Amino acid sequence: MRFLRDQRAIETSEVAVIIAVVVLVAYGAYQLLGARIAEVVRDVAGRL
Amino acid sequence: MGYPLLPTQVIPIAFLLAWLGTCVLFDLRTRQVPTLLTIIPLILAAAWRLFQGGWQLVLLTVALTLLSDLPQAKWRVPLGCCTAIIGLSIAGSPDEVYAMFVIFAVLALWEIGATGGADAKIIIALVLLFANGLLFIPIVLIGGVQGLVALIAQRKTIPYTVAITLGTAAWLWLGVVR
Repeated sequence: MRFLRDQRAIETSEVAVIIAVVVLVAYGAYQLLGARIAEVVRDVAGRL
Repeated sequence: MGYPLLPTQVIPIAFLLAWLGTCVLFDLRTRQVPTLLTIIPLILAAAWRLFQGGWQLVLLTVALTLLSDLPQAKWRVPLGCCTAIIGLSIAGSPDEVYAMFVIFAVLALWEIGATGGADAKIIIALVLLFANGLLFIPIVLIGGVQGLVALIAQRKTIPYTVAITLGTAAWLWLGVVR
C-alpha cells in the first residue's frame, strides 16, 4: 500500500505555518461560536 | 485539562516518548523514518483502539488507507470525503469526531504532498492510541513555530517529527490523558 510504504518525513516549512494558522482560526471559531451553533442545531431539530 | 497522570501511565508514556525520540533520530539523520518504526506502532494503536471499542476510528483509517491506493486522484478525493462523512456519522463520541477530523486531515495533507508518510502514520497512530483529535493542536502549533523559525532563518532544517514529539509531550504534560 502506497501510504504504508511511504517513509518520507518532511521538514517544517511554510505549509506548517499555514496549517497552524488554519487550526488556530478553526479552534478559535469553535470556541467563539460552538455553543451558538449547537443552539441553532437544537432549535432546527426541535422544529422538525 | 487537569487530569493528572497516574503512576501506571508513566511506563507506557515513557515507551511512547522513547518511540517518538527514536523516530526523531532517524528523521534527523536520513529525513526518513523506517516503515517498521511507523507501521508496528500504527497496528498496535489500532489494536488498542479496537480493544477499547473505538472500531469506528480504525475502520475510517483502514478505509482511507485503502482508498489512497486508487490509481486516479479524481476518485480518491471524492471517495475519501464521502468515507469521512460516513465515518463522522457513526462516531461514538465528540472526541471521536475530532479524532476522525484529524485522521482525514492528515491523510488529505499526505495526499497533496504537504506531509510525509512517516509523519502521517505517526500522527494517526497517536490519534488512534488516545482517540482524541485535540492532540493535533499542540503538534500543529509547535510545527507552526518551527515553520516560522525555518522561514526566518531561510533554512528547512527542522524535521516535523520534532513538532510531533514536543506536541505530544506538551499535551501529556498538560494532563489531558484520561
